[in-house]
Amino acid sequence: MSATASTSTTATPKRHVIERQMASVQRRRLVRWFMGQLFLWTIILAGLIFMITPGIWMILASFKTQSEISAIPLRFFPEVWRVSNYPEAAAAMKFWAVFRNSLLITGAITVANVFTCTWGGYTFGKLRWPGRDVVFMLLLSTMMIPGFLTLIPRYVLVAKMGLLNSYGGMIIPFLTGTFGIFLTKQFMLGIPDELIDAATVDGSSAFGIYWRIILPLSKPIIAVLSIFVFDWAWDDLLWGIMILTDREMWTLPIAIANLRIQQSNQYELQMAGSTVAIIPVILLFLVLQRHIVQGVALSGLKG
Amino acid sequence: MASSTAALSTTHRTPFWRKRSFRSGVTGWLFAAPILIYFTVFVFGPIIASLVMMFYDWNGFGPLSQAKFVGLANMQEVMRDEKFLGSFRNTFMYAVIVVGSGVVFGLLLALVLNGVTKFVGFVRSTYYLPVMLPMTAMSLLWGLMYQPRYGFLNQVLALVNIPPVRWLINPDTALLSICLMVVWKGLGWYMVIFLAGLKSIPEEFYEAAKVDGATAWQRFWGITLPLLKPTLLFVFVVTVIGSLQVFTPIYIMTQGGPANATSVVVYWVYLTAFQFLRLGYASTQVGLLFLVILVITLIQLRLFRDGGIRSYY
Repeated sequence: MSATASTSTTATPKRHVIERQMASVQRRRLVRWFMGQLFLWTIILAGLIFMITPGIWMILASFKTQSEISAIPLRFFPEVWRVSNYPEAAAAMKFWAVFRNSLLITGAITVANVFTCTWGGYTFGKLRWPGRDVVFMLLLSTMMIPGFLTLIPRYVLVAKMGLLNSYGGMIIPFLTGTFGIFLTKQFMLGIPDELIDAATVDGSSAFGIYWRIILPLSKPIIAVLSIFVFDWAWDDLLWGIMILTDREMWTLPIAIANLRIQQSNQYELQMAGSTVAIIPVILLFLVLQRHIVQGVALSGLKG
Repeated sequence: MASSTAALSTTHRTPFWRKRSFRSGVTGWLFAAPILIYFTVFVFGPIIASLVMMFYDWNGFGPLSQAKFVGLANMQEVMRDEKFLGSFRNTFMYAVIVVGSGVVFGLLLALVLNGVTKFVGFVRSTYYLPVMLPMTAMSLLWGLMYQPRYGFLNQVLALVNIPPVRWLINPDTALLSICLMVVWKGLGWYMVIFLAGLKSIPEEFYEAAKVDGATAWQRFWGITLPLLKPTLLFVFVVTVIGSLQVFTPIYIMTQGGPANATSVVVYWVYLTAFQFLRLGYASTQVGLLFLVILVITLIQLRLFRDGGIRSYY
């Protein structure tokens, strides 16, 4: 457009030259942009294949016979889809008892954390009391302390409480967590104080405010928190093999680890068991993936 | 306490227990009390107990009075314990490889994904999926994929004429194989965190640099990396603490073998405490690793001090 303005004073042949040059610059820029995108997408796609192939191979293997899994050359798809691997794996793992234990323990830990962490977030983020910041720093400092430092004393404690081989022994040591309290506290800084002050004027108690205002307003962070806690508790192996020696009490991770030891050559059962173990997590992920990824990003940005 | 006495002396009509500030103080402590009691029992108490147990010899059964005070004997033993020291070295190798490649490849992927506009949500979620999947199941899966003769990986390598690798069986490659699997599983986490960090850098900085004629390489070193410092600190602190405590993939895939090549500290502590029933000695091993983690974390905090640590801790 500025070119047309300048043509009135300059000679006409120059206009064509300028236009042609501009077109070629634009074309070159377009080509460069296209090559750049092609390059980026090649990397992304190669990465995607690397990320999902193992999972797909696992699901396919869970429908194969053992000899198909160990066939040379490679057979990617099963010849006959053997659904019967699943009931067989379930029998070998005592699946239903194990699944129920896992669901109960993980569920209880998750629900408990939702309440304790929002409670902590409210106490340290919204209530005003002398010594609050010092106490919070003390709690926060435990985040720098690796969990295994307390592993043996906690085991002794749980054993002395008579909680070995019990749900209590799996749940009680994990009722709350510093990270969860920290996360909810950060979130609660965004809840306006006016809301709380107004409720106080109306005669609400501190507990009433927690129950009727804080808890409902914390839904987004509760979603993120429950996923983190669920995903971690569902996969916990070390504490389980310490506390649960009685087979009836085993959780899914222990049963899966045991497949490797007891059914060491029955790959089809191992893969069927593993596939079942990822189902609850996949379901959770499909429903809540936006919350999950945003929650992780949030935890990185705010600490 | 100081504020309540001050309130007492200055006001004549309302006693201090009626004062609003005093009441909210009481409420706050009442709310904090259950949390503090819980943390005392399950966190602070065990931390102190762990430090005390380092000086005792105890099998974990029977009354605590059976524990025998042995002074620094555990400490002396640990320094000469070849298997423990080997586990210590392996743990370090593992942490350096896992964290190093996680940061490098995670950042590269984030930069790549930051350069495209379509399907970003889908790609991000797919990369993140393995992070969510249980480590137990994935260890079982990769253990099978690593099978040297007919395992999936070697068969795929055979398609492009690469001779078979003896992944978990060869002591030289066993730990690396576990690292590869862990990096595969964790890559999405690094990527999501770095992508969020990249998005938080204002676009104007890059535009200004472009006007000044800075190359893409210069922009990365001059703008991206310095401004990612807080993100990098967070990632390093969290992943170093986490990876020095690795247990699950070792327990399932190799049980510390072959020839102790993949034995790591927490796995070795687990054996010492619950197979050899030496809880005191296991506590000493834990204490040593803790000390090292503490030193590393402090070094990291110092290295990244200018990056706005205040906003983190």
